[in-house]
Amino acid sequence: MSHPSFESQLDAYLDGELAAVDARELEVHVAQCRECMEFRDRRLALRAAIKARVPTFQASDVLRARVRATVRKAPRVRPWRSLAIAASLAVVALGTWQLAARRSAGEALAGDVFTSHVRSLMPGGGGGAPHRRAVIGSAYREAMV
Amino acid sequence: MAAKSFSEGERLDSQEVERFETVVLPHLDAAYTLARYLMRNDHDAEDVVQDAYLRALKYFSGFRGEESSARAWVLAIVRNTAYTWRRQQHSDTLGTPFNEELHSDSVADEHPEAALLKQDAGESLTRALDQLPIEFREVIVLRELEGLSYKEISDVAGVPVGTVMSRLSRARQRLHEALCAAEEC
Repeated sequence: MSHPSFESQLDAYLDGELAAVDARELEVHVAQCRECMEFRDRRLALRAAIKARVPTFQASDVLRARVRATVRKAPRVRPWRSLAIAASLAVVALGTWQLAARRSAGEALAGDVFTSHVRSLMPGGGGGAPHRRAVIGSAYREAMV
Repeated sequence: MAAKSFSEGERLDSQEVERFETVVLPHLDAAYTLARYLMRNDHDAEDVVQDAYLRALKYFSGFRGEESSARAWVLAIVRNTAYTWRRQQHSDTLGTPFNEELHSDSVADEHPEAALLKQDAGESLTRALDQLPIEFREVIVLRELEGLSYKEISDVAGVPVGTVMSRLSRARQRLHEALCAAEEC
């Protein structure tokens, strides 16, 4: 048995970790190989010995209490904190909305000022849109000539 | 080791703390068993478990696994915490880093009291386990004592399944030799 990968395979087989196809193949081989059977028996004996003699441990009461205290002392999200966060978000949202509204009002005002300024520059000022387009159109044609 | 402070995003609500108590606390004995074999003494093992549970609590909101995977999840945290502690403890006296080829065929930590071990086969097996390199020791504990699957061990130890298999096999070979030495098989 100087074949580490085969030993690993046999361990995996005993651990129930081999795929069914590989497991059957291995069983067939082991049944015909005395050395493999001995190896398998040694491993089974080792497993039994570990199970019987190597202890698991129990956490002491002191440790258990310490860990529970850690969990109890864990910082939590406090309900008032959630409310405070929600409230501050609402304030921010309201502020943003007001700002946006104010800005659009400001832009509308600036637009009106600009329009009336343009109109005042036009011959006969204060004319309607069709008239403005005609003036601009004639100016454009003059420039292209 | 100083307790980690929780940042705002790591705070848990009361429901999550309750879930932590239901899902993670029941694995305290498993956590302590792993820590005990990795640290090899009660005092350090308790400190490691305490620290690991604090970390687990801190990262619990990120744990999205099923309840059945909580055991491997908490053992991974215990394992990493133990490694961190060991690194800090041995930072002055670091030996050669673990090398699978180098360590696998030599008998590590051969004890002058080996003859004494023959008196008690049970104790000798436990001692042989304690004397294995930590990378071999952890796979034995995770498989034989904690009953984790190869895939779970691979996740906990952060190595491929193939490496888990070869480490398990070599570790078992060592333990078998120790058992034979004690019982003269």
